[in-house]
Amino acid sequence: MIDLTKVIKTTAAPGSEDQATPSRASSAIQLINPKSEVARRGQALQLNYSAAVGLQEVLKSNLGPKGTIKMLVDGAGGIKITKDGKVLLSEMQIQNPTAAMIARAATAQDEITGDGTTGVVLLVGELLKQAERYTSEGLHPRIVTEGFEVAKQAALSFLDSFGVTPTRDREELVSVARTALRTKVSETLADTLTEAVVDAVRAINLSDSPIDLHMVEIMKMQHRSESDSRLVRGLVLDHGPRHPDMPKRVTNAYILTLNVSLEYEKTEVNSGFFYSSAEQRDKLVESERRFVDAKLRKLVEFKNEVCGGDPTRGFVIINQKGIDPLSLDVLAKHNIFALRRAKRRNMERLQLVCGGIAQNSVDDLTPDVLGHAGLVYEHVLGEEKYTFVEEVKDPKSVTLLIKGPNPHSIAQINDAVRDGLRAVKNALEDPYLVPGAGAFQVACAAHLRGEVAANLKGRAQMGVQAFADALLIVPKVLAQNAGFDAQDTIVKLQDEHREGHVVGIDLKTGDVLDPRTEGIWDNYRVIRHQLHSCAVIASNLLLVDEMLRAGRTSLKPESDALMQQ
Amino acid sequence: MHEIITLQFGELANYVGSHFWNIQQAYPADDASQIPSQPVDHGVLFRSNGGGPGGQSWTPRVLIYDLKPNFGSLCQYTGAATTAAKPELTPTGGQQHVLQGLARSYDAGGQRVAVHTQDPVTPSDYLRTLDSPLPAPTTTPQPSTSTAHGDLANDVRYWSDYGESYYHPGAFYPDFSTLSVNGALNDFADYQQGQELFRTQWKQGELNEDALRRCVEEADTLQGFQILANTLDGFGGYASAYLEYLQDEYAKEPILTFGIAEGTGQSYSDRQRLNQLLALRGLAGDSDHGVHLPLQMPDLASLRAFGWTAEPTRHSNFKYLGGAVLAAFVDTLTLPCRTGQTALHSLVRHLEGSQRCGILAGLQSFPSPVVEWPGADQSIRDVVERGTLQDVSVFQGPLSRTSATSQEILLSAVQINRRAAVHGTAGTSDTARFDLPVPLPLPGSFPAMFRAASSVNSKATATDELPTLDGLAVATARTSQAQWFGDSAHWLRQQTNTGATHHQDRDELLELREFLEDLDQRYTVYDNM
Repeated sequence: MIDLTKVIKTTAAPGSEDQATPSRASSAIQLINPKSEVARRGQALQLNYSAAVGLQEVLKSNLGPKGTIKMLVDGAGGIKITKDGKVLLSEMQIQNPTAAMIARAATAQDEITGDGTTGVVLLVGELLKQAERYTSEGLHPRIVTEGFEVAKQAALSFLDSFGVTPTRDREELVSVARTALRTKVSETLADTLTEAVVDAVRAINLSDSPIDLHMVEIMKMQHRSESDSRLVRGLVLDHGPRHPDMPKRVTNAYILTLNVSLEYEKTEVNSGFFYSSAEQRDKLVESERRFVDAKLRKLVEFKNEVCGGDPTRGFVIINQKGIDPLSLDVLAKHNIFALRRAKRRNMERLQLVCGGIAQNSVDDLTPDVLGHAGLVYEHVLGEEKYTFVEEVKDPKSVTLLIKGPNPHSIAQINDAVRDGLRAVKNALEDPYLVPGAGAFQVACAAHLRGEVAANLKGRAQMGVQAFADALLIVPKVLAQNAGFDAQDTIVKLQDEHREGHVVGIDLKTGDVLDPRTEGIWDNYRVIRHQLHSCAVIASNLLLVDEMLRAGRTSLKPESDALMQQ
Repeated sequence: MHEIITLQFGELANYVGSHFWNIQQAYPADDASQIPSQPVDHGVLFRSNGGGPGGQSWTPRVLIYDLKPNFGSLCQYTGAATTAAKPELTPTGGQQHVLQGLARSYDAGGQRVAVHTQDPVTPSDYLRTLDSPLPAPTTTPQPSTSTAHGDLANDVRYWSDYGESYYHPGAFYPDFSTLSVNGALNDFADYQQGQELFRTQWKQGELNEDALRRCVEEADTLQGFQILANTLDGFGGYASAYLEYLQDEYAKEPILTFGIAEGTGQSYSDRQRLNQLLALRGLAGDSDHGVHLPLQMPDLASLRAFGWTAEPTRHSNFKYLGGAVLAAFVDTLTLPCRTGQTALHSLVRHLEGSQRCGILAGLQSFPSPVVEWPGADQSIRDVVERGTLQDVSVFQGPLSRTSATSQEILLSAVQINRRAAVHGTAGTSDTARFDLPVPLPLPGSFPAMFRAASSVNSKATATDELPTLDGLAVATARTSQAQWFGDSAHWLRQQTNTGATHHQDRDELLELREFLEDLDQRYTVYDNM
């Protein structure tokens, strides 16, 4: 771990060139706060540089479909397996301020685009590494950042011309999802998830409104193996009916979505203290009970009205509020399948899955507020109960059922599925798709070095040069992770590119391929955001010339320090 | 009215919670014991798995939130503390990265895997004794166990070190160590950070709503929620935001909130003090169905004041000692809800009192090794007035006999007494009194000093003069509390006037100041009543 305190102490060893100045300058700060620590100019830059490169080293091996998986074992033996940069960054106990800053920018990338976290960390580290080559020769960091700015603008406009207008058909979306998923989980698993993810997004994609990924429910089940994960065209709820006599399986069912409490209500007065005898209390309870009974009567009447005497017709109530045991009893007697305390979001989803309108009262129920499902059944796994609402017509909300034998494999798939969904959504919304496998980075680097640098006068060229070199980190690491020589691959790619092809790396052979024909696509917004945020954060870090840390007294109470020994 | 769901936010809260669950487990399981009336219904706080192939097991209805490093040897996937040592993955040297621990790569079925291991946390001796197949507590001679427990105060490093409960794996939020916590590099020390974290999780859909909903769905007739929360750090903010969400989602359920702080007011940094005030406002909530009770862990000075000079040393873990006292308090206060005497919503109504006051003060009787302690009342009053025991002020002896306390209480609301016979009436007409002859069971993990005190008591049951942890009063308002609000408002006024905002929004601070001034005024009115 890189500890700021330690680094400051070592770099401020006697004989460093700044020796005279810091003592005067830092004494000014120390006058204000004697416990503060200061790192200046070269030192500050050095600190930022080593933190960025350190973080890069950690995440480097994860990039791409051939990247390694990291297994994290915590103090209590809990295991987490991941390849996802965001998950890794969240699990690491980062204590270095610079590293934390980069990590934050990277996780912001994930929040906005759903992918590309590792790429941001890699690019920031590499930008600093390249910049350091120039600054160590005396170039002012400001000049480098000016070059970065120019390069960033040029790269962004190059991206627009490099991108391909998507057809948005299923095949293309499958390619996009496959590209995203294969970087998160093993190839075979990724392939089983790919189609499920694409079909899920296509199901909820209504042409007239923006895609709301919340309408894809992700349900986790610790059961069987990863490859049993599938798309359910319907809804899976993580609870079952709470009454032993309720039907376990209902076919041809009316679904009533309800937000009405069927519980004996707590009185608003201090009932507990105002009755003096047991009879009085019973009376109070009874009058309370009458309200609930009236609601139940209405529900049962409604059920009889719509189902008539048809025994093949099922009736299902899914309630957002509670249903107490007495009420469950009444419902069970009338053969109604009832769920209580459903998720708020599921109320919305249910209406999209099986139609109908959620009701906030049991008055004036009409048949057109009912939804319909061909099959509703309970699935019991040990203590856990699940309810499947299936066989519905054209659902506008679906469920991805994730299965796995243990918690860490489920968590891994969950993270991957989330990213896959985002990738498909992005592909549907973005104006372009970008050829992947490092093709964009190679082409962009060449473009920057060639046209952009040629049209730029002055020292800012060096910044552009550094930016172009830094971009190549992506294909380099992709090659390295697949076990190929980074330099060889880059040369091969650059040669091919010079001949006017769009080329990426074939990770199986180490040769070049055309990502467009292989169906390797990156999301436009992922690359765009990556370029933007890495340039900004690298510039900020380069321009830091002083790092202060105030005294630590307020951070931790003494007792804690004692505790940790 | 049945189930109560507990939420624990932050390290201190979990220290208290750990003791609390141990106490719950120590209650006799059935009515078979000789307790004459009012058996404790375990179904209120615990859920049963309904008896599967592995037999019936009970796990607390609880959700636990804490920073990852504070969990100690508790494995969040299984809900049980790992007691096996893990030598296979011990680091053997190598380059250390930003990532803690060590990476090793190996090939597993075509996929390369890098393993990063944190230094394993060895489980505490206490947990290992619990886990050992030998029936340790019954057969081992008395002296050896007492020494083992005497060490506990010095041995405890994590709140999981003395937890006897098995938790449901869903009780944890394993992803809590997000960057927003650690990346801020200050151990989650700001109220604001907690609020922000909650908001981000809410937006990202990372809040573990499902775990909460599972608890609620299981409940046939929910009684309400009780919340234990740190108030000095970011968890105060997190808990406040959570409370708001809870009140929105379950608008009719009563919520009893305990805010937990440690140490004395004087030792706080400005930031902690501000956090505490912000949490006071945040946890007080806006609901008609909730009350907030700020509690303070007793520290070394207050333990000394009660004659405990020998046992606690500077190295003792005060979170462990103080947590035990507060756990006894929380247990006693909600006891009537578990024996069926009253329901949480009635209790909350009563605590609010006719004045509808959302912030309470508590008084608790406290054991002391000194049986006859001349001038005890006086010295306690001193302690209280010095402000070392801001909110749980403790008193010696049975409730009825403590003159100091009845003067202290402005608007008394609820008194609970667990000793057999107490004569005389205390408090005003506004007071509800529960006499519950269910003594506080002391689990094996309880600090040895309190166990010793209670064994002295049991020998002398005839005289109920002897103080224990068994009695408490919760008051709507107290003199010292009113004064504290006044002081805090004054302090805040100074801070805002000098422009010190401590990274807080200035408007927020002004709002907080108004809140405190309002409280101050209301309490002064009570004082003059």
